[in-house]
Amino acid sequence: MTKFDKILIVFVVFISLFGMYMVKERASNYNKKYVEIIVDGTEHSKYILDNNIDKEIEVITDKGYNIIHIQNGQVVVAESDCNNQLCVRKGVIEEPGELIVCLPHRVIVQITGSSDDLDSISY
Amino acid sequence: MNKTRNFTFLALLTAFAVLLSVFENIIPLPIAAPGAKLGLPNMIILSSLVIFGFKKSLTINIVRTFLVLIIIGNPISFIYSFFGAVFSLITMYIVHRYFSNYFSLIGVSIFGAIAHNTAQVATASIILENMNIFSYLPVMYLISLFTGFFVGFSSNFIIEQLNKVLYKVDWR
Repeated sequence: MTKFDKILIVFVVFISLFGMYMVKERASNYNKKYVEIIVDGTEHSKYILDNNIDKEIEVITDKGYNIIHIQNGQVVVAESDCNNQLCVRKGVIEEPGELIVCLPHRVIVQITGSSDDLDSISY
Repeated sequence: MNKTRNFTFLALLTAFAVLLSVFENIIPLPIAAPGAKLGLPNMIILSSLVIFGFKKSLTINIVRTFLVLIIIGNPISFIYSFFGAVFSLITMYIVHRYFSNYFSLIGVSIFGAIAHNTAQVATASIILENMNIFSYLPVMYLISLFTGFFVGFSSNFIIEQLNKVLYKVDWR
């Protein structure tokens, strides 16, 4: 372990913490949230995400199925027949910028946001 | 004779790397990020890069990804692992070849792990046509610090033992 190894480790920690902060920061200034389900790069469906919504969506592709629950402002892939089950193990997402990816089925569930403030229009 | 030994050694190392890849695919990681793995085969790849050089370790690596494709049978994960493997090997080669005065094997393998993750996320974002996947990257960088450290640390022992064996058979 040389001096430069330690510098590299500290640098990478710094970069990744900064990156996580940026992801969070981008997510925090939205007041409207959407759930987008994307299959094969094209939009499958889109819902407004708030606390009242309660939906169960079944996405069926020729590769398999994913069952997505939207409930209490949270989104989770409840069931899937993909081989690695990463989408199910990912758990609950609720903030803009978060996403669940099912690589085998090429399904993405992502939360996006938009802000209606005047501030954002003036950009 | 040298050529035969050469082939045998490469084949052995490839077999080890394939074994570790399959093993790694079987054990689940508690972290659910796409492609979050321990990087066990990278121990073999890094050791062979140090001992046998770039070309041979590239051969081992590419043959490994093809064999894993045949065993596991997942063409999509093959694309990810192929680009990740090639890109991380090139990065490790450059760091080891030109900056080995500064970085030990631990640093080299951390570079490799980071390059591997970057390539995989980039490939995933191209295939899925979605840039948001890059938001996984900071978390994966943190994970790759630990896995990279582990791999670099253990490669030291592998290289030590391999050198002993190679000295015994008078190969080098």
